Amino acid sequence: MKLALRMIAVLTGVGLFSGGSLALTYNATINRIGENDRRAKEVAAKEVIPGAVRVEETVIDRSTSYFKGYDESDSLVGYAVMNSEPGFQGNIKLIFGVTPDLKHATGLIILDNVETPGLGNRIVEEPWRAQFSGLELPCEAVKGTKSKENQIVAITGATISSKAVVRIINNGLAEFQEALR
Amino acid sequence: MKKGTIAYEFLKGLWAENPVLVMVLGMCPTLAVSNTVINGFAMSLAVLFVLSGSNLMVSIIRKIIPSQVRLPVFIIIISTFVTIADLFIKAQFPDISKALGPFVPLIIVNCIIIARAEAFASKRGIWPSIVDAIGMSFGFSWVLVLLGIIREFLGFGSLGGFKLLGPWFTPWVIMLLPPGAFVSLGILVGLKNQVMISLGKRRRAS
Repeated sequence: MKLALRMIAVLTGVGLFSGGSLALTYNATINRIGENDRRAKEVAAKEVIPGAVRVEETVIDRSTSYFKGYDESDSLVGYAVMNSEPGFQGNIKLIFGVTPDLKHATGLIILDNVETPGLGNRIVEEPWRAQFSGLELPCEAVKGTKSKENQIVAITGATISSKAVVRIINNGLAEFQEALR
Repeated sequence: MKKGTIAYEFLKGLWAENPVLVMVLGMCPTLAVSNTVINGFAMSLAVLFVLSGSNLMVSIIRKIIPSQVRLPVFIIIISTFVTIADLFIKAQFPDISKALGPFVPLIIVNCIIIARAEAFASKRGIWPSIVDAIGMSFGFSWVLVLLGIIREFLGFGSLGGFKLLGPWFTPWVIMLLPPGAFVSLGILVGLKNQVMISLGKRRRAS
């Protein structure tokens, strides 16, 4: 009986102490963490909308949202769409810029991915992503050389990851157009 | 060196009882986040913080913990420190937090930490426990950083993010993937054993 009480007392004490210190740490850091996430998203959105100095986020659903980009004189210069869907090994989260007429992409940034390092992971590299600036939408991925204005060249050895990026962009664009209507 | 002295408790973690090379504990972070030097280093710091904190707390309350509930108590203490470390890294170093991914929260189930709580801190005083924690963390760190150096150099041709090798170098992608981790670690363990065997021979000969 005495032992049982001691076990309860020790576990309660340790639990209270742990809960208390966690609550303190959580309160001290949560704003900063939210701020970091928000800033990372905004920096990326501004980077894919050429000329944007201010962006406004609108959430569509849990995995998709879009940003309106404004320049210094507060006129709309473009949109950015953030979407996340499965890639080769896990979710790829990306953000891409769209011209105001929704016909062309203006840039692409991969925010999160767990693709194979050195292969699928190369979707984050600048030379490959540069293909998306000025690309006609919706787009498609081809092997070898591009023959149409809406095509990008898939990474050799990482066709699945390349196609996943294209699919995520096209689906994100469709959801975005739906939401604008 | 004599067992039980403070210097021994520190140095044993570095070599004779190295958590990775000898005890082969904590393999999950060792293999997963040693693909670059920076990741290995950040992981080491997180482990140093968690291990020192948990060893200290366990040692302080070791006499009032009934042995029947010691494991849940250890786990609560460890997970508290891990969550604090995770929140701190997320708030201060968002990029590193992204690179380490789920491996910071996973320190909770890192065997090195619960093993030191169970085998050392729950039986020893506060000072030896802290020294033990620091020694073990350093032992973990140098192996992790060394693995990071080997894998980053061969896998990216860079060190700490700086490109060292020119475009003529074809990166060994395999070094960044799990097989590269297993092979490099296996070679390190083998080398360590070889050194121990040669040292033993020389001592016997003299």
